[in-house]
Amino acid sequence: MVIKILEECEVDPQNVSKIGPDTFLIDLDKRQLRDVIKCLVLDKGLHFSTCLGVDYSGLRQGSMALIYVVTRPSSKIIIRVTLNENESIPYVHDILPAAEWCELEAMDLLGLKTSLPVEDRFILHWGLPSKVQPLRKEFKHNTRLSNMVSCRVSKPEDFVEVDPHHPFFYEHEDFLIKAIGNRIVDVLYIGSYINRGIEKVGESRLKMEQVPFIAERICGICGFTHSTAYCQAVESALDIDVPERARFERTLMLELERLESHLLLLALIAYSVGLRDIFLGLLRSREIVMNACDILVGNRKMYGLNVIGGVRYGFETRQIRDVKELIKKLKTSLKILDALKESQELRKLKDVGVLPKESAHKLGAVGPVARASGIDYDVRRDLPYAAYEEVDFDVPIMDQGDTYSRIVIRCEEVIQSVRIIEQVLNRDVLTKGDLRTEYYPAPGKIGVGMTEAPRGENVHLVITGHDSRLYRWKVRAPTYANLAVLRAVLVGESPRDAPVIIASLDPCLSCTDRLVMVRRT
Amino acid sequence: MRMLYLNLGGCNGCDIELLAGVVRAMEKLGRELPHPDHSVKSERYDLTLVTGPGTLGNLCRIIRDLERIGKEVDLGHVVVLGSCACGGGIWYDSYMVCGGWDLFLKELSSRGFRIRCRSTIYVTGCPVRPEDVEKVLVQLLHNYPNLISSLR
Repeated sequence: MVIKILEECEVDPQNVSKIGPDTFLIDLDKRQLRDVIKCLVLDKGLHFSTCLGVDYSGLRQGSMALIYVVTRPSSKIIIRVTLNENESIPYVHDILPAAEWCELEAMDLLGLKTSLPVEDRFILHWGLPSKVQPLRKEFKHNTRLSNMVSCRVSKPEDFVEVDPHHPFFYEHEDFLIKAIGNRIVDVLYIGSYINRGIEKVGESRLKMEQVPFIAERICGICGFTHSTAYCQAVESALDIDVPERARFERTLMLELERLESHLLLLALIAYSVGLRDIFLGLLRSREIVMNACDILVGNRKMYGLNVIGGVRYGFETRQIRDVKELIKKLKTSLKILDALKESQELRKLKDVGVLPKESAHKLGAVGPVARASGIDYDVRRDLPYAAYEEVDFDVPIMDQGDTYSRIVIRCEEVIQSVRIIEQVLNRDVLTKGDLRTEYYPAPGKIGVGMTEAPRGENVHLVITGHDSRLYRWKVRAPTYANLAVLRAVLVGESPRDAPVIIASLDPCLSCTDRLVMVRRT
Repeated sequence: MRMLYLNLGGCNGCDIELLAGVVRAMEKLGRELPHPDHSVKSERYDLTLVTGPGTLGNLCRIIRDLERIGKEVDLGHVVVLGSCACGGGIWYDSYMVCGGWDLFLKELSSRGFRIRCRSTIYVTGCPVRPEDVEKVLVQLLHNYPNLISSLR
C-alpha cells in the first residue's frame, strides 16, 4: 500500500527501506523533496507530522540532514534529505504551511543556510548572538547563556494582549490580537518563554534509559503520554517487544491522564464562560481521577512508571479494587457534563471560530481540534499502540469545526475514556505477568513513537547514538501543530470571544516550548 | 494583601497542585486569598509564589516588567514551589534556564535590580503536594497576623 503510493509519487524504490513493522525510511535528493512532499500530503492526503534538522557529524562525516515525518493510517514514513554543511536548505512551507515552524526551527537551532529572507532569530529571540546554535554537536548543554541575553522583544504598538487562561494556570505566552472595530484582523504569537532546552539535555547529559523521566516533565498535564511516546520511539528503533501487562498498565494511565486533562480544560472553559458551579464540579471530578493516580503510582502527577521496554512496577489487586470504586464514583459525578453541554452560555459559541476541514488539513491540526472539523484521525485507532487494539472505544467526530464542537467533542472523549478504563480494569493481566523486556542499545537507529495525547497526535523521533545515549531526540507536541490554526480561527471574530476560542484549542505551552517557539502563526 | 504569582517556566504540574493547595488553605482559613498578579506590576508585595526553573525567556519578561516599574521591588514572603524552582530540578544545568529561584535572583541583581525578600520558604516535590502547599500557607499566615487580618 505504502510502496504503491510512493511509486505514484515517483520515489525510487531503491531509496526506500523498511526499518520497522510500520516504519519506512526514504533517502531523498534535495531537488526531489518538494515534489514528493507535495504529492504525498497535498495530492494523496497523508498527514504531515513534523520535520527536524539533524547535525549528523557525530555519526558520519560532517553532514547535516533534514528529516520529514509523514504518516497515514497504519504507517509512518520518514523522509531524510542529507545536506552538506554550507548548502542552503530546501523548504516546503510555502506549499505546506504546517511545515513552517519546524523548518524555521531547524534553520535557527542548527544555523543551516537558507535562501529565504530571515530577518531575526525565530526561537532564541532573546538577543542571543547567531553563533549560538544549540543543536550543533559541538554546543555543550551546560553553556551559560544568561550573560549574552539582551532581552529585546519588540511588540507592535497597536496590538492588544488577551489572557485566555484561568488566573491560576498562568504560563507566560503572548497572543497579540489586532482588531479593527469589533473584528480581529490579525494575530501574532510570541512564545519561547518556557524553552528549557530539553532536547539538548536528553541528548547529552542523560542516558537513554533516564530520558523517560525528563520526557514526563515536558508537561505537567500530559506528561505520561510524552514518556510513552518516547519509549515507543526507542522500542521501535531497537525492535523491542513490550509485555502485555506493561501495555495494559500504560493504557490505563494514559486514559486516566486524558480524563485529568480534559476535565481541567472543560473546567476552565466553564469558568471562562461564567459557569462557576460547573467549574467547581468538574474540578471535584478531576480530584477523583488524581486520587486514582495516587493510589496506583503513589504520586498525583508525574507517574515515573515508564521505562524502555515496559514499566517499572506492577499494580496489585488491592489497588485495582480501590480504583474501580473511584471510577464508579466518577461516573456519577460526570453527569455534570450534560449540564455543561446543554448550557446556554456554551450554545452561544456555535459558529464561533470556525475551522474548515481543508484548512485544518493544510495547517496540520491534530486531535480534538481536527476531529471537530471532520478529520477522522485518531492515533489510538489508526496506529494502535499500548493495548488500544484490545479495547473497544469510539472516536467521536463532528463536522462543524466551531468552538462549540471543539468543546463537546472533549465531553464525548471523557465518556469514551471512562469506557476504556473500565475495560482495562477488568483484565486479569494487569496484576500478573512480566513487566519489562531486556534490550541492547545500538547506535544509528531511527524510530518514531506516536501517541494520541489529550490534545492530539504527539510525535517523538529518536536517533540512537553511541554509549547508550540518544543522538537526536525530537518532540512534536500536539499544541505545536494546533497553534498553527490560531489565525484561521481568530480572524474575523470578535475580540471578546478570543479567550474562549484560544482556550478551545487547549494550548499547553510547556509542551510546545519544550525547546523552541516561533513568531508568526 | 497583595499577592504575586510567578510561573518562571514550570511545566504546569506545580501550578495545578498549587491551585488545589490554595483551595484547601482557603477552606482551612475560612478566608479568601486575593487574586494574584502574574507579572510584577507593583513595587511592593506581601506574598510571592514561585514555580519553574527560571527560563531565560522568563528572565527577559521579568526584566521587562522591572524596567517598567523601577529598579527596586519588595516581594515580601516568597514561597518557592517545586523541585525546579528550589534548585533547577532536572534542568539545573541546561543552557536555557538559570537553575532555580536563587540563581534567578542572582541574575537579576547582576543586572542592577534590587529585589528584597522578607523570607524565603522552599517547598520541594515534583510536583509539590497540595497538602504541603496548604500547610505552608496556613502556617505562614498564622505567623504573620497582620497578613491574615488583611484578608476577606
